[in-house]
Formats: sequence, structure tokens, C-alpha cells
Amino acid sequence: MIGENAREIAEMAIESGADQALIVEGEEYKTYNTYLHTHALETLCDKYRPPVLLIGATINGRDVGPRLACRLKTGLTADCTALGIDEESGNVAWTRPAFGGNLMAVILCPDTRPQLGTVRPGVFKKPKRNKGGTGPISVESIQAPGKDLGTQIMELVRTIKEDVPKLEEAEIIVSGGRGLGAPENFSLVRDLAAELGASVGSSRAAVDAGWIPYTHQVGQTGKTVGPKVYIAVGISGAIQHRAGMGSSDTIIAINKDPEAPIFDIADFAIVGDLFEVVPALVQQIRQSRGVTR
Amino acid sequence: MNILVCMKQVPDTTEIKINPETNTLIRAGVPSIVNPFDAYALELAVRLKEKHGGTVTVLSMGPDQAIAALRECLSVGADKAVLVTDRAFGGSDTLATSYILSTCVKKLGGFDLIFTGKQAIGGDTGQVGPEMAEHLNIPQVTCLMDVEVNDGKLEAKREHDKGYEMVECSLPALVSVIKTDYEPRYPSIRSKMAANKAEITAKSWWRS
Repeated sequence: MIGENAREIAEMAIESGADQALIVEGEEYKTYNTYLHTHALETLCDKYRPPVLLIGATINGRDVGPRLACRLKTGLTADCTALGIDEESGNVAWTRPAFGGNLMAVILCPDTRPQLGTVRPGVFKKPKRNKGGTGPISVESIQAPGKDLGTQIMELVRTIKEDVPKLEEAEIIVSGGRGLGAPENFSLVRDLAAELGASVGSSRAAVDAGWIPYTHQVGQTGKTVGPKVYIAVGISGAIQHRAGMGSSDTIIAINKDPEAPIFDIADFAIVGDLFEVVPALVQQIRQSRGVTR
Repeated sequence: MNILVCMKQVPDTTEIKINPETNTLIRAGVPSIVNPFDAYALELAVRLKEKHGGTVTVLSMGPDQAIAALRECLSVGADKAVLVTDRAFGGSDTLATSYILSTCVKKLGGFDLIFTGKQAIGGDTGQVGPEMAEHLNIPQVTCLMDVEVNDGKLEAKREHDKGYEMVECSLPALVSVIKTDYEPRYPSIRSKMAANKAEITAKSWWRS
């Protein structure tokens, strides 16, 4: 763990099943910096020589991962969705989707160490925390590599409400597309999402039309997501969109065009006018809640 | 500003078909395009050049067919194009690819800023850019949404889970671009004709 609250997170990791934690803390690690974080990880790899290192495939994890892999002259498998051990060689078998989940590739790194991979957030269940769990936490003091840090974060501008999970980690996503017809109709998608505690996604068409910011875009030039439930509202399902959400566990599509390609991959197909279906769905969910409560 | 844009020619996924028996991609007859993120990177690079002067060079590693994609880049604002090609490069992983491209960068020399797309569609690794930056020992800004250069420094808008962050970065640097607010421009008939006539340098230094 590298960062300002490294100890807190290390304790959480140990309560979640880690045997041991190493922490790198200090003022200089308050915000992410490519040089500092690469240097810290490199130093720890030199010291402990781990055969395998996993990094979260977050925005910053995918910034530092390749930098570290290149410095250590080893392979890095990007954005893994499953991990195993290759029985023959004992190497890690990294599984990752390619071509939007149309193909799954299993990758081995037989010749160099450590074996590195970034792991897609949200694909593994968080382990149950055992509040009494204990284990050693060692503080690693690491000298900064020099004064020149290359980059410096000047300002963080928040544009996303805090109470919803990131798209990549969301269990339920409700996405809207061109079929909504106008920006104000996104409220239908938001209502349904709010009812389900879901995050809001969109197709490229809705982003290009200026109805919703790019951060919500799912697909080839947007986010790749894999929620338990993906509800596509008024999205035709071009292959570029499917590339970003095709690996969702359950896909529910609402579209008035029975020929829409989204129905090819949908588990539940609702052919109908979204302006009728979505409000009815919201009402149904509210009612069923009322009954169970 | 001397700017380099690294570009990959990729199969157009709207045309991708899967062989249902082998479950592999059918590549034969699939048209190729400029990787979409690289097209955004090029547009951003050309806009910077138009504002601050200088040149935009496009570099691609790939087979001879990639010349078509390089010509496309020339038709939308790039000044020079370089293809680096060798049979031995087939099947390169990201570490090998970044080594080859960064070696080219050193040989070509003199770039203030290097652009890549966030990732190439299909592989989606997003690793070649940062690995090039490491080979070149220069700073990087990944997931770039917009960029400005002021007083010899880069002011970058970088994607963040909660919005975006403003990052200051010294030059030379490498940036990897996500989708931006600037849609890649279309070529004119005139620029297309000029691009078709342009000379494209094909390099194979490592053989010497």
C-alpha cells in the first residue's frame, strides 16, 4: 500500500485475508505520481523479489503498471478478469478478454519475474472481513528518486456525484442511448438507476449528442464494464457498444425495434416503447418493495 | 513544437466476425482503420501545432499495409509519416513494441511531445505508451482529455474516477489520449490527393 492512509488500508487488507502488509507512507505520496510510485514498487520488488505482483487495473494502476514492467523488463498482462495456475509450468495463467470479450486470451509469463498483471476492478468478490484478523505491517521507508517528479497534480475537479459506484465496479448499470430522444429524458434512466442503486451508463450516441458527459460512455471508446445486471434502454447495440458490456452477467434490453442488435446478446428482451416500459418498471419495483417490506 | 504521434492500424471491429467453430477472429477481408484513440490523439496534436507552430510526425509499426493508415493521417494534418517494419516484429508483446518504437524515437530525435492513443482496440492493453515513456526516461500523462502548452510546460486535463484532474508536466513528455471533445477532422479532396503522393519513410535501422 502506497499513500497517505496506507496503514488504514493495510489493516483492512489483513482483515480481508492478507498474511502480511507493506506500507509506504508520507506527505509525498498524498497524490499519485508516476515517478514516485514506480520507484517505490521497483524498490520493493528488488527487496522482496515477489514471483507474482497484482495491480488493480484502475486509472492509476494502468499508469504505473506498464512503467514498472518496463523498468523490471518483464511481461505485464493488462486488465485480467480471471486468474489461475498453469498446471504444467506452475506459472500464473492470466485470463483477459480481447476484442470486446469476443475472445478470451490466456497469457503466461514463463521467462521473467515478477509475473505482472493488472486486474479489472470488481471482477472478484471482496473477501469477508474478519475484524479480529492480525498480521505484520511493515513500514518501508523509501527515498524519493530525485527532485524532478515530472508531473504534478494541480487540481482535482469533481464532476461525478459521490454516492454511486464507478461504472467499472458497479453491480448494476442502467444505460441510455439515442432512443431516449432528448437530454431531459435521461431522467428516466436516472430514476430507474436510483431505484436499483445502479450506476448510469450511456451509449456513444448519447454522449456525442451532448446529453451526458463522456465519463458515462460504455463501449470501445469508453468504459469496459462487467456488472451483474446491465439494462440497456434505447440502445441499438452497435458492436462498439457491445465490446464494452458484452461480458455482463445478465443483459436486459429495452428497445422498440425488434431487429436491434442488442437483442442478439440480451438475456431478457423487452420490445416496446421505453417511455412506457421504464416508468412501468420503476413502479413495479417500488410496488414489489412495498410488499416485501 | 515538434510532435510525434504513434499510430496503429487496426481491423475495423464493426466488420469483425467470429468463426463459430474455432471461436477465433476471421481476419481475411476485414478492412483496416486508424485506431480510434490514435485519431483523437492526432487531432489534438494537429490543433497544438496549429496554435504553436512546429511539425507533427506520425510513426507506426506494422506491415506495409499500414502505409494506407499513415496516408490517412497525412491527409488530416500530419506533416511527415514514418513506417517501421520488419517480419521479426510480428507477434511483439508490449515490452518489445515499446522498445522498437522508443528506439525509433531516439533515432528520429528532437520531439517535445509524444502522443499515443489510450489503447488500441482489440488488444486494449494501454501499455505501449507508458512503456515507451519509461524507455525514454520521460514523464507521462495517461488518460488525457485535453492539453495546452504554456511557458514550456504541459497543462494536461486527465481523467479521474470522480471527474478530472489538472496535471502540470515538464517537457519532453508522452501523453496517451482518451476520447476528447475534438472529433477528428475529415480530409479534403486536396489534402487526400497530396497525402496519396507524399513520400513515406520506411525504416529498418536495426538491420544495419
